[in-house]
Amino acid sequence: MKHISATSLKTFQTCPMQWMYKYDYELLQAPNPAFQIGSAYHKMVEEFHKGISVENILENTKKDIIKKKTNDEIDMFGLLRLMFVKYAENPIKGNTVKTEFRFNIPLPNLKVGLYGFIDRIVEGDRIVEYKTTSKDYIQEDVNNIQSHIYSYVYFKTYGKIPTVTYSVVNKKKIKQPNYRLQILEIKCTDKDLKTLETDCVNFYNDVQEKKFKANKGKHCFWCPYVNFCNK
Amino acid sequence: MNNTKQATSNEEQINNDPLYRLRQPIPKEYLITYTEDGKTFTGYKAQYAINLLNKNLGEGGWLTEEEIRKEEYINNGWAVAMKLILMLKMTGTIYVPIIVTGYGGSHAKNIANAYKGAKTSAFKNACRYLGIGQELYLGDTSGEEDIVYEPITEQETSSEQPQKPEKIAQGDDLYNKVMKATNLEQLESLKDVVMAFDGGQNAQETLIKIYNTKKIELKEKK
Repeated sequence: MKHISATSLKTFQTCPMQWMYKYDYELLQAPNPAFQIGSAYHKMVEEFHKGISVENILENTKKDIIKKKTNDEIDMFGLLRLMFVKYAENPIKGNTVKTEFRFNIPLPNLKVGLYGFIDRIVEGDRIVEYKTTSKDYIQEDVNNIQSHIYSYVYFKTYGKIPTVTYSVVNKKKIKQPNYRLQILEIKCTDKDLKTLETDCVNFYNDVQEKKFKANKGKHCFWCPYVNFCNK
Repeated sequence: MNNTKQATSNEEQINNDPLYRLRQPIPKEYLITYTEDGKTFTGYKAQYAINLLNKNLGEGGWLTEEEIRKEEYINNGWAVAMKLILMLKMTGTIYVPIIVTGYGGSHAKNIANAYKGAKTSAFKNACRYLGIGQELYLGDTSGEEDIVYEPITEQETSSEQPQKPEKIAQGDDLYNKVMKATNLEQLESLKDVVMAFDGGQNAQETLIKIYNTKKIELKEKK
């Protein structure tokens, strides 16, 4: 294990065997259109907050996505345009301090640190995270490992616990005429940050001891390694 | 009075439990008889199980994932063995996924027919674990046989030469390199080529599955 990321910790807590196949065996995953849409959307929003015009962002994205003029590519760009224009109409305001902030923060008593990227940091101790989804979020969804890790990183960097704001766009609802992006917020507590440290130590130890037991559940339905799992 | 309550309770069970509805006896019009090795067997048309799953779970409520376990040209035809994972989304008060695995095989002159037969056979085998057509298996005296070969009716094709399925043929060289890798370094050197393979989504997914299977094999051997 080289470092701990939000995705890695979340994967292990969901199913240690899935983690093993993904991070230890390093099995391949077929390209996922949902992932492509998420990455492209993040890039568009990042450029928007760097001051690039909406027209230029759309033009650049079009060139990136539509290469062979297939229906899938055209549909994907159409969806991205709708999502981005909707965001640009009503963006998360605030002076941007950093975008795509890369972190690698040491953890107490561990040889590995926390690693990842924060989408955007805004003045006033606020972290903004952009999500593309097919299902509306509820408040419970943002009380997650990612919020805890980002808050921990911000606290270690700036000495304050930030507010984490999620801007959520639902791909299935974006065509509805009056659709508005969801905005959810969370402020983690000191206890959340302490719990995160303990979770990271347990995670690291479990991996060292190769405790990779399969955990059967609804996640199996989307698990890319389900056909290698005896459960 | 008690009998009436009992009857109502049974009806409720049938109405509320999709699994119970899957286990109902198959109507006669979907049954088929076939002869193999001089013996006559009763089976059912796969379309019955497809309709049944669509009706009870909705078209997005179930899906299958197939894995080719063996593909070989023997006895003037293609033998294909397949593993199929059948996944059901059971929605009720809580979300409960149900996943069953089936194995099946088939032999046919035309490889496309061998594939279709193997898939149908593996699908029915998986359905068996959900109780679909259980009355047919309960009457089966062949013991613990799990793999049911799918009888195939096929027409002669214009080409006498057996053909590899298109999805493998497009990545033939890569497929062979992956299959022949004898250590992890060799296999991992093919990673970028597999991920960049441009023979269509299905072909790439097949290659990735083959790569992953090989990687697990080599990793566990190590």
